[in-house]
Amino acid sequence: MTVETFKIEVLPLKHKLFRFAKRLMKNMPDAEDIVQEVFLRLWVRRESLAEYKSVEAFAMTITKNLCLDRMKSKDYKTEELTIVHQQVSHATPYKKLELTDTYNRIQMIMNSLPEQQRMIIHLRDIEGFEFEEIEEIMNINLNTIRVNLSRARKRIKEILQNTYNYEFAKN
Amino acid sequence: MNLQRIEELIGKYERAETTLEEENQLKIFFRNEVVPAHLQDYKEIFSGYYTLTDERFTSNDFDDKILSLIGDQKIIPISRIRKKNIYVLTTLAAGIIILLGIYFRFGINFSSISDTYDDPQLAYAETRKVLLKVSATMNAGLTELNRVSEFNNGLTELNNLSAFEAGMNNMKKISILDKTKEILTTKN
Repeated sequence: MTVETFKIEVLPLKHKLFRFAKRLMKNMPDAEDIVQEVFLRLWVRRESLAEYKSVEAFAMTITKNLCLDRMKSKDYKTEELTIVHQQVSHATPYKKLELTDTYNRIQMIMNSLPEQQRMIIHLRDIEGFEFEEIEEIMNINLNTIRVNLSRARKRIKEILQNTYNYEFAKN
Repeated sequence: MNLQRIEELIGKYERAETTLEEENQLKIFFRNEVVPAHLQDYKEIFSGYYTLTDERFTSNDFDDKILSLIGDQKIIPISRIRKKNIYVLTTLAAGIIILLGIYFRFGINFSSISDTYDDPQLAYAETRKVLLKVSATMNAGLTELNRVSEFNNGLTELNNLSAFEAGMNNMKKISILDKTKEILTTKN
C-alpha cells in the first residue's frame, strides 16, 4: 500500500475513529492522540490490511484497544471536567444555541453510561454499525450486545427524564 | 408514518430488536416531525444523536501530520523488525560458512563413489575377483600369524621367575641381621 492509497482509503476514517475515541476518552486531546496512533499502527500493518474483512472495523478495534490501554495506564488522569467548556467553544457556530444544548446534554448523558454500554450505543445509534460489525469490534457475542444496548437505551431515556424533572423542579 | 407504528418501533428499539432500517425510520421521523408530548424524550435523544453523528475531526493539519509521520515511520518500525531478522540471518550465515569451510577443507572425504561399470554382471564379476584376491592374500598373511603362538611358549618359561621371588623373600630375613647390628651399636 502506497502513501497515496493510504491517504485515499484509510485516512478518511479519521472522523469516525475520532468520534469513537472521544466517546471513550471523554475529551478531545486524548482522542486526537489516540487517532494519530491508530493511523501509525495501520500504516505499519498496511501490507496485511487487505486480509481484514473490513478495514473500518479493524481500525475501530485498534481505537478501542488503545483507548482502554490508555485509561488503564497509571499516569492517566481524566480531563473530563475541563472539556465541557471546550466542547461548547468547538461546536459549529452556525448551529442554533438549542442544538448546542442538545449536543452537550446527550454527550453528558452518554458519558455517564458504563464503558461497555457507551461503546455499544455509540457504535449502533451514532455510527449505525451492523451487529456483526459490533461483535467484531467489541469481541463479544450478539446476545451480550443486545442486552447492553437495550439497557443503555432505556438508561438514556431515564436520565433524560430525570434531568428534565430536575430542571422543572428548580424553576 | 402513523403513531401506532412509531410506538411499536420504539418498543422494539428499547429491547434492541430493531434493524438498522427500522432505526433509520425512527431517526427520520423524530428529526422531522412534530411529536406528541409523551414522545418528546425520543425527539431529544434522536436529535442529540444526530448532532453527535455530525461531529468532525477539528484539527485541519491532521492529514499532513499523519502523512509526514508516516514518511518518517517508514524506516523506524520496519528496521525494528529487521533488527531481529539480522540476528537470525547472521547465525544462519555463520552456520553456512562453517559448513562450506568443512566441505572444502575435507571435501575429498565426501566425494561419492561413482559407477565405473555399465554392465552390472561385469561389475559383479570384477568385485568377486577382487574380493577373492583379497581373501587369498589374507589367508597367506594368517599363516604367518601362527608364529605368534611361539610367544606363548616363551611366556611359560617366564613362570620360573616366581621361584626368584621366593628367593627374594628369604633374602628379607637378612634385614633382621641389620636390626640386631643396630641395637648392638646403640647399646655400646
